[in-house]
Order: sequence, then C-alpha cells, then structure tokens
Amino acid sequence: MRPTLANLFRESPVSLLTRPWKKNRDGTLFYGVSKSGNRRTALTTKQGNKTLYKGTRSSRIGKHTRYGGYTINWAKVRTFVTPMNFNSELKPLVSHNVPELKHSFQGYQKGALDAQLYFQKLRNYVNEGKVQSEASDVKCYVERG
Amino acid sequence: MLSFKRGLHSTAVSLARTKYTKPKPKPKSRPHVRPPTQHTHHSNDLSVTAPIPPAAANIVTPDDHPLWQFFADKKYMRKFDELDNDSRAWSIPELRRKSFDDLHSLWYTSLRERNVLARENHLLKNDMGSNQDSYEAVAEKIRTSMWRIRHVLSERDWAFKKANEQFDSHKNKFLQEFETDFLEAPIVEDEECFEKLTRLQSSVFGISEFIDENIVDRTFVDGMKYVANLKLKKFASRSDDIRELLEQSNHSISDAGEAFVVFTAENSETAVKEASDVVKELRSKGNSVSRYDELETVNDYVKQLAAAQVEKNVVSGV
Repeated sequence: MRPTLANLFRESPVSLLTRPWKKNRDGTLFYGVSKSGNRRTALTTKQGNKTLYKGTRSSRIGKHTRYGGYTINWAKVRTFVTPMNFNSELKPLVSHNVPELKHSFQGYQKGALDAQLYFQKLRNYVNEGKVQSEASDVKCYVERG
Repeated sequence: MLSFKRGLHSTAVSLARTKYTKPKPKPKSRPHVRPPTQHTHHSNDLSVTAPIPPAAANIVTPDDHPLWQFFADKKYMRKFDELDNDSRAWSIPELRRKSFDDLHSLWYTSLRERNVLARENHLLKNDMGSNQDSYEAVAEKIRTSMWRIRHVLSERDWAFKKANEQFDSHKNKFLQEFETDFLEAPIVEDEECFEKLTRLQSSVFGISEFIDENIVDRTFVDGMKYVANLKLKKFASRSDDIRELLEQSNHSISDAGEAFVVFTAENSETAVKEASDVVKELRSKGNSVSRYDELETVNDYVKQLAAAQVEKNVVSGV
C-alpha cells in the first residue's frame, strides 16, 4: 500500500468540529429554541414512541420471580433516618437581629480542616471537658472556630 | 323372562329405581355447631340511608392527621405578611457549633417548612393565578440553610479523616505530654486528674467508662495498658509496694492480664495497692497472657466483669 503523503495530514478547522455550526454575532455558540423545533434537548419520560421506556432510575427495589412473584431486596429500599432525640427548639431560619457569627481560625492555615486545630480541641476537651465556647453568647460575633 | 311394557322412551328412565328414588333421611341435628369465623359482607346487609351532602362540615379530620404537617397552623394558606420575611439562613459558623443530633433535627424541621411553603406557592400560582414566587423566596433561604448543614457535616468528616491521618505521628507526643501533666499534679487535684484520664481514654482509645459498652480490639488493649501504667506511676510515689512492683516490671506493665487488674481497680491508693498485690500473686503463680491471645482473653475478662456487675445490680435491686 502506498503511504499517504505527509502534506495530506492537515489540522481540520475548528469550525468543522464544533457543533452546532451556527454562532451568535459575538462568536458564542448558538443554543436554544429554534422555530423548526429543538432537537438537542434530552427526551423526557413522556416523549418518544411506544417502545421507549425512559425510567427515572428510581424503580426496582427487587426482582420479579418466575411464576409472577416479586422479591424485595431490602438493601435497595429507601430508608429515611429520623433523629433519635428530636430538638424541636431549632427553627429553620435565624432572626435578622442576631449578628452573623464568623470564625477566624487565627493561627490555623487550613481553617476548619486543620489537623493541628483538631488536636488543640482534643487537648482542650481532655483538660477541661465540655465547655461552652464564648460564642454561646449572642453578642459575640467573632470566634476562633 | 323379562316382561316388557310398551311406553315412551323416557318412561323407563323415570320409572327406574335408583338409589335416589327415595328421599334421603334428614341428617341428625348437631348440637355443637361452630359459628362461621368470617362474616362476608353481602349486599343484603346494606340498607338505604339519607344521602350525606358533600360539605366541609361533614368531613371529620383528626387533629393528629399526618398530612397536617403540610400546613402552617392548620391554615389553608398564610398571608404574605404572616411569613417570616426578615429572618436569615443559618450561617456556616453557627451550624459548626451544633451537635450531630441538632443538625439532624434542624434538617427535618427545614424540610417540613419547605414542604409547607412549596404547597402554598403552588396554590398561589395555580389557584390564585399569580405569577409571583413570594413563598419561594423564603423557601430559598431555608434551602441555603440545608446545604450549609450538609457542608458542615462533610467538613467535620474531612477534619476527622485528616486529623486521623496525622494522629499516628502525633499520638506519642500527645500521650507523653498528658503523662507528665498527670504525674506532676499534686494530691489535691487527684479527682480532676482522673476525670481528665477518663476523657482521654474515651477520646483517644475509645474506651467507655461503662465496661459493658466496650468492644475489645487492639486500641482498647493498648489504651488499657496505658491507663494501667499511668495509675501505677501515679501512686508509686505514695506507696512502696506499688513502686516495688513497677521496678520489678521495668517501669511499665506489658502483660494484658495484669494491666486489666490495675485498669479495673478504682482510682484510689488502697484499691491500686490491692491490685498490685493481685498482680504479684499472679506472677508468683506464673500466670501470664501471651501476646497472641491477648484480645480473646481480655474480651473474656470484660464479659465476665460486665456479667458480675449485672448480677450485683440485680441483687442490690437497682
């Protein structure tokens, strides 16, 4: 076989590779609803012909057996774990009169993820036990963290 | 000879003697008849009653109906000024201060509130035909709180993982520091010192104060030995027997059985001294636990001790 000439290997122009080929005036790619219908959005579960079944990847918590039965695989069944000691005093929002608390993490470069901070907290816990920090006072708005 | 009589073709059949010709005798009456276990609902049980007009007053809803959770104060819809428009979402530092249980509760409280708001917003747009999303604005703030809860939990997890990675190199130094502080403290602070020790053993070695809650593994045994040695060293300066024992065993106990005896002794000089006597007795008998079956042996000891405690509680009527 004759080898292909080297000058035939050429970089293809970018405009041929990018799709869709239509562009806006500012050069950005054109996407969106067109008059002739948009073919580039994914089908929903309600579209397609009668053979198309597009699930929601949510069903099937078990297996159909022969003879028409069904065995449930309990590992696949959704479970919602509710709190053991429900604290009903906490409300979903905080009053706007309370200043937002800030953590400074002074002296700890990696902030909340700093291992040294963790060790310091461990040391404090061992020495003092569970102690309320200063930010349990509402007026305090900057804390080490 | 058979005698034939002329007749219709059906006569022979109707006149033939079969076993059903005679009516059967009635069955004997049964004295003990079991009533039917199931009563089927038949249409002849139904009776015609006056129609119930479809009115809200005719529908009784129990007060604790679970669907009430989708309503705020059992109202069809809150007015816009009844909403909490000024409040803000929980900030991340505020959530960092909360325990897991609190965060878990807050998550479910938020979720409920969002359900209520979503229902109201749906009504506003579909029943009232409004194009405003006034309820959605509040729900969006709650959504912010919710992602922040997840953020804080993930942050906590990462902090724990990263600290655990570095803790291996840090552990010896940490324990050494604690030991010097522990041994240098004066007698007056004994109680405080031992409280510190319980906190240390639970946070570093995962040893619970209550013996039956413990799971015996390598860390448990290591922690047990560490605590036993600390106790001995603490009282060695006050009692000659204990000091003698320590000197005999090269200033640290490494046998799991001996460590268990000291570990379970109470935090007082007399108790530790008794424990050290027991250890000496064990040594004189030549009882020792091999390093290879330390875990199993200690596990047995822990179980025995827990069982003994339960028995003691039963006897004393607790």
